[in-house]
Amino acid sequence: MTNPHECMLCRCEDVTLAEFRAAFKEGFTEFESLKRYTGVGTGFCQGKGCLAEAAVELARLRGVAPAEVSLTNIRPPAATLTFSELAALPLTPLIGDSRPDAGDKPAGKEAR
Amino acid sequence: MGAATPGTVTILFEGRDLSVREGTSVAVALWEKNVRVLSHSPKYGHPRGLYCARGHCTSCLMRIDGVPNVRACETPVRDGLRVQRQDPGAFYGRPLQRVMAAAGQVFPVGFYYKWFTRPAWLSRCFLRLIRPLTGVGRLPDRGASSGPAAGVGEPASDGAAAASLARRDLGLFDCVVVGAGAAGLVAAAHASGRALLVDDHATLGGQRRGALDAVAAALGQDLARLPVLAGAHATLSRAAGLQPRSGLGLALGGVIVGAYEPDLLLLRDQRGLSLLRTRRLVWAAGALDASGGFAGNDRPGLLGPRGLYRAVTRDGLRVEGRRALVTGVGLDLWLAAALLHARGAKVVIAPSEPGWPEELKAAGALGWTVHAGLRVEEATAGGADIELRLGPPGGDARTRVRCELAVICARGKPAYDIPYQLGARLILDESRGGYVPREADRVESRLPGGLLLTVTGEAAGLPPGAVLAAAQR
Repeated sequence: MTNPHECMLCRCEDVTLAEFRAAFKEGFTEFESLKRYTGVGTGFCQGKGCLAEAAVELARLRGVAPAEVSLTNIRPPAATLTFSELAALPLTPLIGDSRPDAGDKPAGKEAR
Repeated sequence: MGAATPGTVTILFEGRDLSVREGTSVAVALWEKNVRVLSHSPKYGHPRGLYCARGHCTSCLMRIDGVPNVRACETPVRDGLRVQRQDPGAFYGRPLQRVMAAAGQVFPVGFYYKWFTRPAWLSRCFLRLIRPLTGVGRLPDRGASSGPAAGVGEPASDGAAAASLARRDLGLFDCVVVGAGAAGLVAAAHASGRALLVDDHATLGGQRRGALDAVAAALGQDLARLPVLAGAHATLSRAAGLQPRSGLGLALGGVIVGAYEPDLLLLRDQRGLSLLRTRRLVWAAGALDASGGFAGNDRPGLLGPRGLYRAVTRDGLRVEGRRALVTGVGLDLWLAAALLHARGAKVVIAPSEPGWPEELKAAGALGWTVHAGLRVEEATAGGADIELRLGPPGGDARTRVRCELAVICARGKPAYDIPYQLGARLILDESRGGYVPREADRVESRLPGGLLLTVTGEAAGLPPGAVLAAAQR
C-alpha cells in the first residue's frame, strides 16, 4: 500500500497526504480551513496541482459525494506576476468608477 | 567562455560553464545534460525536476541572472545566463531539512510556521531562521533584472523595458475564446462580433497537436496500427476546416492570468500584461496533468503527458536512446509512448486498464516493452534514474522498471480557475476529472455580473476531441 507520508498532495507547499489526513483528524473538516491550516493550494501554482485531488480526498474522509465538497476561494491572479508587470497596467478599469458594484464583492464571494 | 560549438550556448550553472543546446529552455537543457534536480522542496527538501513544462508548478523555480523564483521551464537559454539552484546553504540547509522531514511525521501539521507565533519577538527570530531554509527567500541581486520572466523565444525583459511597456487596455470584446484546441476552434468558428482567441501555444490545435503531428510524420503507415492515435489525428487534421474566421483576433503565446468580476480579464503575452473585458467567454482551456496518488509522486523524472508534449514539441527535449516508461490510461498513454518512440527513446509501456487489443499488438511490433494491467505503487530515485514499482490493482507490486523518464498518464484535471474567479458555480465531479460546471457541455450560463460563460471540451470534463468529433458529424 502506498505510504501516505511519501505521497505528495501539494508540491508547492510540501503537504503530504498523511498531513492532510492528520489535519482532518485534528478537526479541520472544512476545505477552506484545511487550506489555511495545511497550506494546500496556497503555493506558487495557486492550486492547479492539488486542489481537485485534495477535494476528492476530503470527500473520502468525510464519506460524502465529491459534489458536496465546496471549492475553496481562489482569488486572482491565477499565475505569478511581478510588480513591474502590474505597474505597467492602466489602473482605471481595475479601481475606477466603472465598477460601482465592487463594494458588494466580498459578500457575494462569501455566499458561494 | 571558450569558442562556442555551433548550435550550443554556454550558461553559467552553479558557477561553472556548461555548454548546452541552443534554442531550448533552461530546464530542458539541464535535463539533456543529466541535471535532473532543479530545486528542493521548501519544507522536506525533496529533490524536484522538470515537471509541468508550462510555467505552472514549483518544481523548476531557480535563481536566474540573480532573480529568485524564475521558472527554468519558461526561460530560454542564452550565452552567459547565470542559473543557480535556490537551495539554502549546504551547511545548515539540507541537514535541517532532513530533520524537518523526520519531524513532520511526528509534530502537528503546519508546526513549522504555526509555532512561536507568540511572543512576537520569538516569531520574528523563528521566521528569520526558517525563511532561508525554504530556499525561496533571498531578494534579487543588486542591479538584477526584475522584469517579467521571459518565455521561450521571447527576449528577456529588464526593469526599464517593463516600465516602458505601453499601458494596454484592449477594450471590450463580444467574445473571448480561451484555448485553441479542438473545442476552442469549434467555438472560435462561431464567434461573432469583435472576438479574440487566446492560447498559450504558438500554433493552433491545442496541447496534443504538435505531438500528434510528430507521431504521424514519424510512423507514417504504421499510425493505422494504433487506432486510438489514428482516430485522434484524423479528427484534429479535419480541424483545418475550422480555421478561425478572418477578423478574429489571435493572442497566441498568451495566457489569461487572472479574472475580476464581472467581466475583466488579465492577458499576459510577449508584450507583457494587458486588460480586456468581454461580454462572452468560451472557456476551452483543456485539462492539466494530475500527478497520481502514489508514494514518491514528486520525484524528478516523473512527468505528465502534457508536460512531455510541451517539452518535446516546443523545447525539442532530446530523448534518443533514453529509457522511458509510460503508464496510465486513455489517449495520452498511447500518444506519449508513440511520441517518445518517434524521438528514438526506448519505450516501456504499462497500460493500467484492460483493453487496447490493437494497440498492444502494435506496441510489441514497434519493439516496446509491455507490462499490461499495472499501475505505479511507488517511485524512488536511483542516481539520474528513477525506479518505479508497479503492480496490479490491489495486488503485489513486483514489477520494477528503472528509467530516465516516467510519464504518468492520469485522467486530466479540467482547468477551472478563471471561470471560478468570474463567479461560475462549479462542482467536483470525479467522473469528469475535477471541478466543472454542473451543466454539461456548451450550456451558456449568465454569471451574476452579466457575463455569458460557456465551458467546453476537456475543461468541461469531456473526452479529448469529443466536441470536435460531434461538430464534424
